[in-house]
Amino acid sequence: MSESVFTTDELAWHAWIAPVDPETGSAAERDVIEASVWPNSPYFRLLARHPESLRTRTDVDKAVFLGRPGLRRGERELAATVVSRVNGCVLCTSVHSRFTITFTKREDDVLRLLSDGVDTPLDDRWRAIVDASAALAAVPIAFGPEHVEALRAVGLNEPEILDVIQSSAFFSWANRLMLSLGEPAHPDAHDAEALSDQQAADARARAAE
Amino acid sequence: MTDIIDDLAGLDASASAALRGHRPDVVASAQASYDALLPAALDADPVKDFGLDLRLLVALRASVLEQQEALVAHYAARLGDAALVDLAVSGPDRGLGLAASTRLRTILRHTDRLVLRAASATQSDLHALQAAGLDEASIVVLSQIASFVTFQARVVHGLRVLAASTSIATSNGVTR
Repeated sequence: MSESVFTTDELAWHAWIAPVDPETGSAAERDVIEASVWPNSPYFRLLARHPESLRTRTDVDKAVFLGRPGLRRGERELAATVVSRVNGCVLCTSVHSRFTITFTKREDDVLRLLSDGVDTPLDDRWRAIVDASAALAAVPIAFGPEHVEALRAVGLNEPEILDVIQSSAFFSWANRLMLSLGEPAHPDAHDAEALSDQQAADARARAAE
Repeated sequence: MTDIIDDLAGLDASASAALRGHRPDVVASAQASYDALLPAALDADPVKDFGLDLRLLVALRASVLEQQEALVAHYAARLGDAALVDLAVSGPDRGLGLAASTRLRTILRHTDRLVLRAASATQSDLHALQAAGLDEASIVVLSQIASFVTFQARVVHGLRVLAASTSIATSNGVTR
């Protein structure tokens, strides 16, 4: 395997500008922090500077990834992992590669996606999903009818194809925020509280799969 | 109420129901995100320092970089001001951008970085925004808008590709 900064290890995230302090924040700020995916994370506490857009962003996240029925959760997480890998978001890649492995049990494939990149050899179904997600990550967008055809050929119906599109689109949004407002860090004792949400999310995923 | 993604993708109600109907929560939350970041007026918005002209300038610049014509037409129509539209098309480093204020150039520069090469962002980019007069909340709003538009562009583009492949009719007409 080649050297790669991408990892399935748990990482912390440190903000470059001051997040909301839950002790002193407004009621609106505290409400959206509590409703966010990880209330102890400095990332969501920073996004709470504009409460309404954090609230609606959390709603999009949950609707795209948890809505049923549709594409399997593990394959939505695969799309999230691919877009994060293409955009260079080390932290998003670490979180969503762990989810992908938990839900699909395909650790070898996921680790190769991280170390070798999105063109690593895969079976036909993952090839089609990975190619479509990578084309959606590109600027300008490279997703075209050939990707829809390839997804259909491996058995995805239209709602499932839209799940690939919307999972990829959401991570185009999420990656940019995480990449530009702070940076990943190897966790130390100060990160324990923030990481507790990630750990709980991983445990819930393992229990649900 | 018009759904902005349906409008931008050229989907009428029946086409929208056929393509997007299985995820009503995505439809509603995507619309709510647009309304939260780019509302008609900022009366209910706590971050008035980053005003509607700036918000629409960022959205338009992101749409130009994404080369999404329907989004460009929409945000240009909402922005209205011809000089600001030209500025968004020029970007920070040519044409009107060269003569723009440091504040506007810094905002455009950060928008370009977010859309095209977000992984190259550093803390000094945020310090540059602070030096240009943006507080934390304004930086979050700028970042959310540029990033949200990349989401909106992909859903719109994907729906158009999907509609074409299923012979669901779309219209071209989109302004606002």
